[in-house]
Amino acid sequence: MDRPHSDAAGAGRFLGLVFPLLPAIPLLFLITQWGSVAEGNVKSVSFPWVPSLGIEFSFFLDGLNLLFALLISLIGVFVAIYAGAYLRGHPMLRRFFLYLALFMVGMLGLVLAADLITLFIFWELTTISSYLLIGFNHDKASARRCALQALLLTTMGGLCLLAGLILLGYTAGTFDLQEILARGDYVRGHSLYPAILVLILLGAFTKSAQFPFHFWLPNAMAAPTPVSAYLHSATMVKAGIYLMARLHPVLGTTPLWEWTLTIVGAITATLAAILAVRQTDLKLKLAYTTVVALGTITMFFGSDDSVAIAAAITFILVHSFYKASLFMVVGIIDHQTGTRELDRLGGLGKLMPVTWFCAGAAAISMAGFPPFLGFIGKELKYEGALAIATEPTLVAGAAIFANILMVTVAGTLALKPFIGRQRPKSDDIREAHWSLWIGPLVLSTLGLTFGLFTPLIAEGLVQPAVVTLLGEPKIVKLKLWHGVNVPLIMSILTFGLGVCAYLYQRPLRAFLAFLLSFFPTTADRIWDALLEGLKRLADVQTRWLQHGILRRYLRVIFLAATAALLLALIRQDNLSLSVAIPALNVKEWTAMLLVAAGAVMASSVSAPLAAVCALGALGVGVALLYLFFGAPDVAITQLLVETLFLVLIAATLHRLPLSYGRHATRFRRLDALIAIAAGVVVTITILAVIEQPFSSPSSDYFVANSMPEAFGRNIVNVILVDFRALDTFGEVVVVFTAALSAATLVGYTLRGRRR
Amino acid sequence: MNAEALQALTPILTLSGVIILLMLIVAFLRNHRLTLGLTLLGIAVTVWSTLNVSPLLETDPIAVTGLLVVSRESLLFYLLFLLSAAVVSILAFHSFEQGTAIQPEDSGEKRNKGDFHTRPTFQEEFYLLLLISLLGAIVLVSASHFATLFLGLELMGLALYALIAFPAIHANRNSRSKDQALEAGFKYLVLSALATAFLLFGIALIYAQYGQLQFAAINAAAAAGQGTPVLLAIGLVLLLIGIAFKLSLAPFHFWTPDVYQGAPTPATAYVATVSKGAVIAITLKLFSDIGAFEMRAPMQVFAVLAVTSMLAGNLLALQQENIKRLLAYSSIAHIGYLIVAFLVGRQEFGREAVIYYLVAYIVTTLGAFAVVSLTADYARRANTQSSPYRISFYKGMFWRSPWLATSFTMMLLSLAGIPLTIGFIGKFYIFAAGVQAGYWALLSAVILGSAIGLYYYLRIIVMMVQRPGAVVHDDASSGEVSPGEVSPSAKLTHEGVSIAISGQMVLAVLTVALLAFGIFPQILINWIQ
Repeated sequence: MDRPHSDAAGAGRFLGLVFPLLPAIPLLFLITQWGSVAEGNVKSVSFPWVPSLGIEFSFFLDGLNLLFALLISLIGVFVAIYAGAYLRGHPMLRRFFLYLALFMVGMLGLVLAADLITLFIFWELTTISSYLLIGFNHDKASARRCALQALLLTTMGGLCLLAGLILLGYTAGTFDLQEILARGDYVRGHSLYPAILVLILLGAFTKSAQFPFHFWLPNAMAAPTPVSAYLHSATMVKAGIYLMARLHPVLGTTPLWEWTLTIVGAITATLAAILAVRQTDLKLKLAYTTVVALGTITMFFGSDDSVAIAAAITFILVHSFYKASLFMVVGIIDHQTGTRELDRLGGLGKLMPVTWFCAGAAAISMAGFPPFLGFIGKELKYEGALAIATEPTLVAGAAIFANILMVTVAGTLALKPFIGRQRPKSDDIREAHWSLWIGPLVLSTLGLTFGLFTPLIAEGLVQPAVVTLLGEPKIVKLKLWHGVNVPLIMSILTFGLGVCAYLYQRPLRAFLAFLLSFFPTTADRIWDALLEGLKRLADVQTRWLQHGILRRYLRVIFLAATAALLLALIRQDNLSLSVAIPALNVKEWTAMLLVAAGAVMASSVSAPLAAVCALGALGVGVALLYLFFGAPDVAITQLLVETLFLVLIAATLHRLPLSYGRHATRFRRLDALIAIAAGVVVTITILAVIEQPFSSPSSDYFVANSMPEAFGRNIVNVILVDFRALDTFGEVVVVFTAALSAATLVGYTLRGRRR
Repeated sequence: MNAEALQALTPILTLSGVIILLMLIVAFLRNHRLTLGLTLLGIAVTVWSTLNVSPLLETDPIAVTGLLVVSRESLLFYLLFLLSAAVVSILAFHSFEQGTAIQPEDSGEKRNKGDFHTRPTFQEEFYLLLLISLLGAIVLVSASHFATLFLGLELMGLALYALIAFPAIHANRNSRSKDQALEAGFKYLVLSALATAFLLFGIALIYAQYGQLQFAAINAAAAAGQGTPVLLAIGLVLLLIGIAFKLSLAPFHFWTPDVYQGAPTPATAYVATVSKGAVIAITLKLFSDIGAFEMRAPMQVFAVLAVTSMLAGNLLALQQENIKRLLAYSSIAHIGYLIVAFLVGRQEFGREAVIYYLVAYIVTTLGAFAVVSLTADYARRANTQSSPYRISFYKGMFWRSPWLATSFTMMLLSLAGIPLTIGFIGKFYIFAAGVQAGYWALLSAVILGSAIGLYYYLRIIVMMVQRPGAVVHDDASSGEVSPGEVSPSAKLTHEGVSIAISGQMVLAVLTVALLAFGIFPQILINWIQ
């Protein structure tokens, strides 16, 4: 930055105050629309953009994207406040806010887009701006590597998504999302459906960090904490989730969809839960729990049961609140103490009571204790898991397993840093500024109190979303107390095991480490190995193809040309050749012999001059053939050109830095083969030419008219001096001009030499 | 030839007149600045006459004798090429002023300050050759007869050999630049001659089939018969091989990296944009005029070439450390993408896709080379240690000269096909054309190629965003830095790259065009339609 530090910081303080108002605008707007949308109305606005391609710049608001948009702008407000405080005095705060604003626009545009291509554009906008945000503060090579990794993975996913969306658009006949939603049956019945599904899911899975692309999310924790709180909990990683939810009515309900989502989600949740417990870095721990949540949601979207969908939607809500506030809490701890290593933290509860409260409230939500929203969400999850048609045991098992470990992680986050001996020992540690803790406080409190206003949430947010997602009216009831049933028993089991796991955390971690040591590799390593392999392939290919040796280039070129010609010949159904020994006299055979001898000689001698001479003999042979078959003018030209060529080459050859006889001529089998193949193909082509009865209208014309019109028997002469007299004149002028310039050049050189 | 036809010919006549005038002036008065001014003026007059012709063509294209056809489409290409040539000549001016055009690679040889002024530099001839080549390109895109096609192609090519080998007559004896330029020019000459041989043989075969050289006449004769005649198909395949050379489709691409690297950067920009663009334009016209889109064999050959180009080009670019070579390889891949749309050229949509992608490619490539060229000029002036053609030179550019880096980033994003750039719309067209035609294998190659492409485009962007002050920990496992790389930014000046005003304007115009056509593509689509 070119401005002095203090100046920028001053501007930053002002910006920190004003910037949160930016996401507040859409938030207020959304709240005004809430009532009407919850009743099932859909608002849309559209601008023509590229009409000739059928692309519109259009947006709409319905139950499903209202939920996402509300989350994005609400959490956006608090993250903006938090970021202003967290990065206070940072010399590039303004740039940071610019990126953040870009990202918010991208995210809101993504969820509100009513056109597939509009959606994709905002999708890529979030990718790019998130790269800028993740890479905002990194100086280390490893951090840069992670930023590049996240960028590469998500852009490659984006590429697949674009292909999938275009396929979907052309299959459905429109890019308008609302119309596509109505054509689900047609799309599912289309033969391209699997391709569309796979491509779009690849995009969604990379963005939402699903197995086997889950590794970029923890790696992206190099980002400043406000970024992690916003991007990696509530918004960007939910983009893939949103896409799956959005396209559920179009692509869902087929076995392929259900099994893919269920299995991928289950694997992601289970794997990430194990990895989360293993971590000791607070932020990384949170990152892995985010992956758990994303996996769980994906798993539930694999079904079309309304309870399962409601569970997923509720969980999206709950998760966004508690995860954003937990990230911010970790950020506060990091900010105030300078570390976020679990083992180096303790006893902060007395010093930072508000932070502790936030952490506790969020963790309770995360662990799913009653009577909070987290509990309802979890109950619903278990109920939904049991209702899933494909594989209830698998889903329920994965959900319970993941939740047990979530309880453990939640306990760790809420208790470990805050109780016990004070660590690190320092007198400077004190409660953070209000602007830091206000965000987590409000969000975690909201997460808690929502549990007490379940009808509002159920009817105002979750139900409209479920209804739009499934495309049919459903009643969603969120209740705190269901009576004693299977989900409740599962909940109790979860708590019990979770608490046990918390108490025996160290041995558990050691056990998991031991267990994981049997896995030979991680996805991260595989990715690196893939990249490395690709690079090596590129190296090998470069060495193999681009070696700089002209002779080998020519080899490839002739091979390719021969293959192309061969293909063309094979593709002809009406190709007929008649081969017979021609009746030639002795002089014609001699000329042919001369041609053949010249060719053999040219390819077998080592000295360049000898080869050129051999080629000259070949040329003379060809000229003789022309002569014998009635084209004396062509023969003369050929002879002249051959002679001139030979003289020129001979004159310049000795001045060229050529090495004679350094490599003995050996029989190059490959070259010989290629030459023979090329020769055969060209010969066939020539034979095909002979087959063609050739009649040129112009030669007929000259034959008929040379005598009556120009009174000449020699047609060539007549053409030159009568029919094409003006052309001949032009040619003469050209020759003279060339001679003049040559004379000038020669004169210039001579004068230069004399001087 | 009637008056209307003569008027349709005015752009070509004007440009020819400008060339002769310039040649005469240069013969008497050697002044670099004046030559540039006259070149730009000549281009401007030609643009004006082109715009004047366009009202004539509201209804039908005008055939000028049997040799040329001037249509609205060809006028679009005229404008595109004229503007590209204007950009190239401005780049060339800066290049000559700094001496980078004469000695692209300054490999540490001692260079006296007055070196260029004591010896004749012949820099004025560069513009002359450029205009002649441009004339060839313009004749080429309006050809409707094989004779004009050949004439245009050769006129364009002959001037190019000299442009490419331009440093060869100036640089110090035995210098690396001289060798490289000579090698580049020679390789281009030899392989071009080979390509021309294929092309001519193809034309001869087509002539042998019908006794006609005019596109329309060939089409009429072909429509009268049934099935694809043998000689026409084989002739077209041979023609295609010749064209593949000019377009540097793999495996006929071998000249590309050496020529791109060895030639002065403005000449490289010209080869990459105008020369390739003209060949694509005429191929599109030729194929639709003689109905070659219905013939299986040429189309299959083209499809195979497209796939090999996309994969080979991207893979070759992946590990490239020289920015000019990287752009060379990536151009191979881009022409490969373009061919995918080309295969659908029978339909109106395919034609539109080809032209749009071509415009996108030309604008973006020109921009990228402009950045490379202007950066190299700066490096020469500032006497930096490391070579400005290495990617590592761009490390931390974002912090030193944010505007230049932003503009370069835009070019790279456009090459990678990221939204809101012209390249994205181009890529959209390619996908859409492929989907409409159902070319699944080609589409997967496009996706695979673009995915590889992302890596090396993003790598440069990431490098530019890197902080210059940062300590560079190049641990072996780090993905984006190859081990043998020269340690970068530390030695570089921390000042921004300073560029003359006209250079900045060129960049600004190109960047704005790239964004404008990316955000409001409909404008350009309307022109194309």
